[in-house]
Amino acid sequence: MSAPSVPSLGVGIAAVFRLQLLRIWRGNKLRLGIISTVMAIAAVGITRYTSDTVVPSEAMEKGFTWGFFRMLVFLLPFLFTSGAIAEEVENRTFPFLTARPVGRFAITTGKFAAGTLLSIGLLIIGAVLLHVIIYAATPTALFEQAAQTTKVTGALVLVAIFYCAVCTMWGALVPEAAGIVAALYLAVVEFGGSLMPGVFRVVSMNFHAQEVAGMPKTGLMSTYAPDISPAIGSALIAFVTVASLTIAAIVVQVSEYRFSKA
Amino acid sequence: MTVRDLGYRPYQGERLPASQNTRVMLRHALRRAWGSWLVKIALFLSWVPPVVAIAGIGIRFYIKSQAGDQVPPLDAPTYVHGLYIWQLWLFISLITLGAGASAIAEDLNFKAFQFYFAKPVTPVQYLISRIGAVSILSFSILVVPGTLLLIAISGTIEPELRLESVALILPAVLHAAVISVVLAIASVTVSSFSKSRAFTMSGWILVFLVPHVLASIVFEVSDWPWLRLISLPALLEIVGDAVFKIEPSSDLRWFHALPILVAVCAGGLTLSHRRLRDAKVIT
Amino acid sequence: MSEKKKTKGTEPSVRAVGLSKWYGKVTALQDVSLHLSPGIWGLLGPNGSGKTTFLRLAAGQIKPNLGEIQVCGVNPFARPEALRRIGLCPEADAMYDELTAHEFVTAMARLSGYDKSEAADRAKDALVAFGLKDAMERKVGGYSRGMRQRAKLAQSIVHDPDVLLLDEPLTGTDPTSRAVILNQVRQRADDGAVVLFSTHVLHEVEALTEQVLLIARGQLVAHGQVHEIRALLEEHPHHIRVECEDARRLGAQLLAVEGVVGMRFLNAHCVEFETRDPDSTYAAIANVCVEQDLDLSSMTSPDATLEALFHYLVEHSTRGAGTGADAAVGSAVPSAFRPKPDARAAKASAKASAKSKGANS
Repeated sequence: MSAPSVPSLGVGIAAVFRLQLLRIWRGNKLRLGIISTVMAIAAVGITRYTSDTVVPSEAMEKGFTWGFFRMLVFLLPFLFTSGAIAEEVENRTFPFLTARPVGRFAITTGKFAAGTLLSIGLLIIGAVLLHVIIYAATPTALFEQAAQTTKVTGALVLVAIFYCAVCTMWGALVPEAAGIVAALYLAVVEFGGSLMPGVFRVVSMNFHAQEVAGMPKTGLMSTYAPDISPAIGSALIAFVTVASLTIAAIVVQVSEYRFSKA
Repeated sequence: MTVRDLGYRPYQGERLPASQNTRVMLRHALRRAWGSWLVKIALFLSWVPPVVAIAGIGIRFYIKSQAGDQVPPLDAPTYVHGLYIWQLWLFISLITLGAGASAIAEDLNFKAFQFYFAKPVTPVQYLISRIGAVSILSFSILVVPGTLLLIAISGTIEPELRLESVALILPAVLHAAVISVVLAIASVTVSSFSKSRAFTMSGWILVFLVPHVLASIVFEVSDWPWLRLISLPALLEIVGDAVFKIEPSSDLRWFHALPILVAVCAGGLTLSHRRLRDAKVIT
Repeated sequence: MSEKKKTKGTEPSVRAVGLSKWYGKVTALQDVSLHLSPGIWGLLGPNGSGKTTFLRLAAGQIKPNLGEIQVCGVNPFARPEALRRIGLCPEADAMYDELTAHEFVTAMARLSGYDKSEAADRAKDALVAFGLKDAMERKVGGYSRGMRQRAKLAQSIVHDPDVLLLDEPLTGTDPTSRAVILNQVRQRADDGAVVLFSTHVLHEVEALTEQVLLIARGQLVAHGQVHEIRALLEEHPHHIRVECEDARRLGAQLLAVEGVVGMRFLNAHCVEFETRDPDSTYAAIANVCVEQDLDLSSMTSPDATLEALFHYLVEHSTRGAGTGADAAVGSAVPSAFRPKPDARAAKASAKASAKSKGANS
């Protein structure tokens, strides 16, 4: 009778990451995410080629604003990370993980990493597909606009990582209502906040990401919205991401998670 | 081997007839819905838009009393319909999420069907109670503020328009009923797709939002409004335009939207009833 | 199994000192002190008595409010060095339904630190050991209750734990599965592990071990060998149940026998005597049956089973604790059966009492 030695942090994170990835891969949420991404791209693509009045760069911009910044960037992290911890607690499978020697930090990080990888993977694939579809008929623009698309995709990835962290955090803090609280936070603070008048929209990381991407300002009294430099915006998003993830890790480390007690 | 009587005694008291099951189940479903703090928040905060709207009417009345005829007459139907749209997006979405989209999934997850269907409760009665509870809550946060708003409008509007604004109570009730029933059926149907609450709630967010965003993308890019016919909130808005006799903002008319809403309701009821009928009672 | 992965640690053990746990106003576990050495231990108690709470404390899933628990010398809560030596089979019928049993157990082995191929091999061995060889590539969601239970048990042993904590492991299993599970449990104990399994079905314990822990209303009411505990019960009146053709006639004849202090007619053919002198009463029953020409069907003592022991101890437990229906009524712990607390435990117990008084006021 002899148990193995304690796995290193890297091994632990990798083990949790693989398990979480496999579970998402087998579940229905990935399908929902893929369907939503394809539909958003298809909607812009079909409109681009069926309407004579559409300017490709304008279609691209509207597609990014509506399809990505107002939908997919919220939806994908929500689907893949809000239930990562909460569903395990609710379904009473969490003890399978916490009774293993990987350590709770590895559980939090591994789950976050798996959800983030899928979210940003779909966002990047979606952005590239959208770019190719919109500019396929104008090869010059396909290359000329690549830099702008890359910049927007980078901003999307940055804010998506933050949303994954914030959804993981709410899942750890309130596992009984993680989906609801995460959805409310994203809808009210992030989406609603990005449209708020003037200076109030700085509370929304979505606004900062749009600034980083160089998107035009929209929403109420958008002319009064402040101009934030991409460096400051990126640093701010990175900071809140790390803060959210730290809170999530601490909460998971000390919590008992007795969703259904003895 | 003998089976021993461990002390079971049949209930000797008064029993309600099976016809009362729907009422009993509805009461139970309302209690369950009230248990969701999301529903409580929605019901509590749903007073904010009507209070703001009534305050707006008060301010308008004050300005009109000062400035006289320079203030144009109030478009009461648009005002009430606007309030409904706000309530729909802000609060009915929350009620359907908290009480509708998790209703059947929760019972599936906690294996609660045996407590209902082992008794003389039919799937139809169960379904009516679940949909009824969500409908009642949604209806209440539309019709009560709507009626108060109409009273405020009638009290401050020009005398010759007063009767017309009072008569708006009928379309207000009708449209509130349509919104409540359609969204309750749709959300409860989504809740029957899986035993995972997280999945059904995510699914409802997708059903509620994604088609609307897609329609918005297409409309923004090319001004083509027809994709709005896949969005539940947009369909309800189009029907609302007709109920309140408001000039529609696009080519879409109520006879485009209504058949789709009817199909959604009929399909949803059939689907959820089938899933309930096929569900394992003893698990 | 690769030897480089194995590490030697302290002797497998579970040690609790003045352990208390409460959920809000409900005291789930109160002042439990014990030491478990390698072997099989049955954790007995009615529903809601605190068995699961104790197992969760031992598995490092929850933290004690008072006192301490150590597994192999380490506090297990969120401590990998303790968790690596623990195998837990939770009570809840919850698993990753979208995975196959092999994927599930392999994932659990990888979480214990094994590499891909070794984890897969170990998972396969564990599943075969629990009779799931032919079903291991099927998704767990399609399993029967008994198969799920066996898959859960397989994941609990996949890393060769030194301390195996099984919460109601026989729930939902058929006799064949039960035999497979019990066999595995015995094998683990023979290999030197501490196996602690909870149940409220007493014959499951009797079939497996002599060592029991009895928990009632959150307190440890007995701890040790079944026969030792039963010996302590000699002081209380013994029961003898007799089935014969005319129970009333037998009862009338036995009234005069010295030591018989009471009798109860369960039906026309069954009588239960309460006696302070079992030997002479057994002899007297036999004599009366011969003299009166009574046709005797059976003569048993309900006290000889663990069931009786259990009920006797539970009925005499006074302080109310535990999480379920069992917590509702109070009574006394017979002092003879109470485990002796050390000084630290006594201190913790005093603190717990003071705290619970404060909570009540």
